[in-house]
Amino acid sequence: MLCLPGDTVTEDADYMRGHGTYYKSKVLTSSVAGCIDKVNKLLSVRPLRTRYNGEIGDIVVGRVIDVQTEHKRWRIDTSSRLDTILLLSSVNLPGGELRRKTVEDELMMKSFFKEGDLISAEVQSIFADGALSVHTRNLKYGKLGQGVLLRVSPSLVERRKTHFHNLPCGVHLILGNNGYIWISLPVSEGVESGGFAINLDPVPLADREVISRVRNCILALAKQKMMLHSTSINTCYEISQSYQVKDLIKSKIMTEIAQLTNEKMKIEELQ
Amino acid sequence: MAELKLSEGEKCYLINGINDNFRIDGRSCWDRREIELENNLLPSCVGSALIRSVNCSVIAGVKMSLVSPDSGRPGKGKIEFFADISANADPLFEGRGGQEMTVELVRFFEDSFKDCSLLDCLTVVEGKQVWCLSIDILILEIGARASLYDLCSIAVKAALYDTRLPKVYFNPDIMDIEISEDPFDLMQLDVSKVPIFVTVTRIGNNYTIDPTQEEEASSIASLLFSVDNCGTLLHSKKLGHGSLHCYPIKELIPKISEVALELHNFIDDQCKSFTSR
Repeated sequence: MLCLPGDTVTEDADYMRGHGTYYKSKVLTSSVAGCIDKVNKLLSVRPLRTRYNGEIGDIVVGRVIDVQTEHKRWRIDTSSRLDTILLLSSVNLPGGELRRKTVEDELMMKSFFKEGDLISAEVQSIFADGALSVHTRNLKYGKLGQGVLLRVSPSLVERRKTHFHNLPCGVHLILGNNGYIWISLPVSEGVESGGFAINLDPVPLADREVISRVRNCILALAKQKMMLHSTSINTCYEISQSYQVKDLIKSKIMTEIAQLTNEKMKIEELQ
Repeated sequence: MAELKLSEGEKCYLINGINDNFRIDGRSCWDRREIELENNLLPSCVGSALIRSVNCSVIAGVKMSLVSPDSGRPGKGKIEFFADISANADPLFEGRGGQEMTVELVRFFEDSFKDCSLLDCLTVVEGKQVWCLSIDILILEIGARASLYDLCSIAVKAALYDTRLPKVYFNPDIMDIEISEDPFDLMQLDVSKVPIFVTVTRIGNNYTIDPTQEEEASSIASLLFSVDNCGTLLHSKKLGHGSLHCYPIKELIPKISEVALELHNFIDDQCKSFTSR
């Protein structure tokens, strides 16, 4: 259920006050615009427009902003309130080699990830102040190669079983829980290197068009505040076929395709 | 706007795309993104305009006063520019944070408007009284720096188009000027010669217009030109630190004029539709 700031969440005194709420003359009131979450007796309001609030196990896409060799860690921007941390002990070294905790690999940190690099990672733990610590100890995580990064509101990406998608149109999509979306060409099976080796060969124009089309579709959906998942993106991609890629950034067409997607998805839900 | 740092893969993808004349949002190198223009929105100004293009928005307002002209230019009016970047655009611009950028912007405006024929129609009594237009440019949201200049110039031109000055008559009996009592006795400015700016950004081996922030982050440098409505280049300036070769720029000039003419026509059409409303 949606509510606005100042709306009464409940008048029942049995409930406990959670995030995004406050008591106004003993009535639980919302302090943000968002949807009401109920866990047993705890009522909280999850804001729609927010920075990313991480949870353990989330898949995020982030950008390295700092290499802190002295602390053996990288600082990562994941659009959360505080910078996210990636410890040297929570990365897989190139070639799946185990770290020997020598001084050398501390000095080599910059050759693994440097400032500006994009990575995909999983949230490992949350510090007391809310800062996140991520890890890339899986071959599917790691540095990202050629592709396009999109930033949308984190509340548009739901927590799901899978956030890595190979769409039927032939692109690979990472829907980061933090609202960062990575679109690239699919990686062939077994070549996952944890992303240390990056392929810098030019991408063919045909593939580029598909990637840009997906990008513009996602932006159109995000502009209309529609949830982003593989179904909605696929539906929107099909609908967008009647337009050229460069027309998809016009606001009129963006609204139109997003609305058509919405209608089509509703119909499919009913069937 | 904090400097955006891109990864190697992103840059490579972007530059190769531009070599193929297909940018990440599907545009070709010489396509511009949608521009929304509104005018006459500030009641405290004699002319105003708001421009918005994706993640960049600029508001321009014109105010006027009567002053005595510069001694060397008795028949010319004056135009003053003032620019400010809202701290809402980025916390970096709080206080004096944006000063470096705004000084640059204002200087380029002043240089481009120095010999504009608009100044001639601001004369009231030659050598005695002229109009001084104060143009305020407020940057509300800042996208890529390169496209910001273009948008600012469009906003200023649209605001000048919207400007209505009260008619002033010289009364020989009292040897002084009189402002017409009829509030609708107004004078419109001839803005056809007002220049607009076109920025071309070199990315890889190609020049593009209207770059996104990502594109700007992987660019070598940008060139800013002010162009009048005949397509003549009036002024130029380089933005960014990279070095550029002069030959490709020479070849670029006809294309820049063409782009500028398109923009001039766009403003004319938009502003005409405003007045007919």
